[in-house]
Amino acid sequence: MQHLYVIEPGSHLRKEGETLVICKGKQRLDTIPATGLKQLALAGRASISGAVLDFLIRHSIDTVFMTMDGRFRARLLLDDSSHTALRQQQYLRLHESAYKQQLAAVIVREKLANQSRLLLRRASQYDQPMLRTVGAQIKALRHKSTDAADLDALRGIEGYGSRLYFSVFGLLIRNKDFSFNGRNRRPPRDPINALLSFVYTLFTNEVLNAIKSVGLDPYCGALHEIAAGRPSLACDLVEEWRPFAERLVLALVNRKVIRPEDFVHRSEQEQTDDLLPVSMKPNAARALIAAYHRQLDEQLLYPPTGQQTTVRWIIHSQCRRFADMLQTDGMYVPFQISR
Amino acid sequence: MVYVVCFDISDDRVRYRAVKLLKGLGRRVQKSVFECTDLSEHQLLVLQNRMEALIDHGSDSVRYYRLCKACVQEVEWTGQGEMPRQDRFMVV
Repeated sequence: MQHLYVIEPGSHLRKEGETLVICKGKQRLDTIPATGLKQLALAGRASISGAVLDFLIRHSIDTVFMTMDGRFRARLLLDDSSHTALRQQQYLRLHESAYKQQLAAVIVREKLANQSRLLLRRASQYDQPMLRTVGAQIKALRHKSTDAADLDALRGIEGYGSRLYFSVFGLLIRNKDFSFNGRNRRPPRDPINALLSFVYTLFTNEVLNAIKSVGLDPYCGALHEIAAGRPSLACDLVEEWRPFAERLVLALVNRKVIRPEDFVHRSEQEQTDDLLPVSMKPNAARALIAAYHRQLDEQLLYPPTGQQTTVRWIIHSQCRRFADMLQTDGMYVPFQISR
Repeated sequence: MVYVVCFDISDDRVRYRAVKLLKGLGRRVQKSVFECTDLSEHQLLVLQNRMEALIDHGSDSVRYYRLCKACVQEVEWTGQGEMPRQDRFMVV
């Protein structure tokens, strides 16, 4: 078992010999071998015992705490081995404003390209002229990103692109039980937004892991400004994976794997703008995580090597390329989804 | 790599310790048979080393069978049981 997600509310993790025992009250939910664990994600109010904590620290297992709707809350900060030379290079390069701008522009350009690719592809599948129009609009926006005067202008273009994108995202949903009227988050207020937030967090975590295993500083990015507690570099590098997250959500909803009954609306006290924040029930979260892992194990052609590679490995390779690029004079090439 | 580890240990205390060790590496599919679906070469050597220190070489034995991918697909059983699980993730 490499990845363990604990989403059962009120569960408790204990260690017995070399196994992890997941309990709820006095009931044993599962016992799993502790060896080989690489990542532990605790959602909701799951707790861990001191012995488990010791085990996690000793084997430097990536431990993430998140809310039931997938929002990242905390991470066990393990002392990462120093990669001073690489990080110094990263700070130096990302301090040069021209370079930073160029890098951010590439990220935005490819993000827009991916978004338009997804829309145009679905447009011909579903025969929706709206999708084609917006897809073309986003595609046109792509060229603007390279000419943007400064980072703020660039972020404006990115924001405009996303607004366009999410204005037609609802057309991609082919299940009349669900509807989508624009993106909202913190907290998400409809099922689709809850699903999107959850998957984005999963992908950000994977990118963050890759960044850390390469040795870069995840908190220093280009497109995203340095902000307390935000892994800006991970936010930058996850942009190219967003279409994967969106495709995943669409597949689950359109194939009716996830149904409206899988969501609950939370208490009225948290109500904002007459919409209640919505959470996923554990069953939906299970389906989503399973689909996510299937997606990461899927094999795709990785153009730089010309080989079929699993998505998980491509994410790691992309981060390694990013590190190489910082040390040499090259430009980062984000991953592009196939048309 | 997938390994099937089975043992024949006469002493209760030694057996208890061997089981405890194996539970950390794999799933107990029978009283004295474990399926370790994700064992590295190194982990196997460590396991063998620790087993050797535990067992009575005169009466006990532990056997390790390595199964290739194709072999795992062909696993059959009668009565209780299921396919060797090779999940890389688990949601509880």
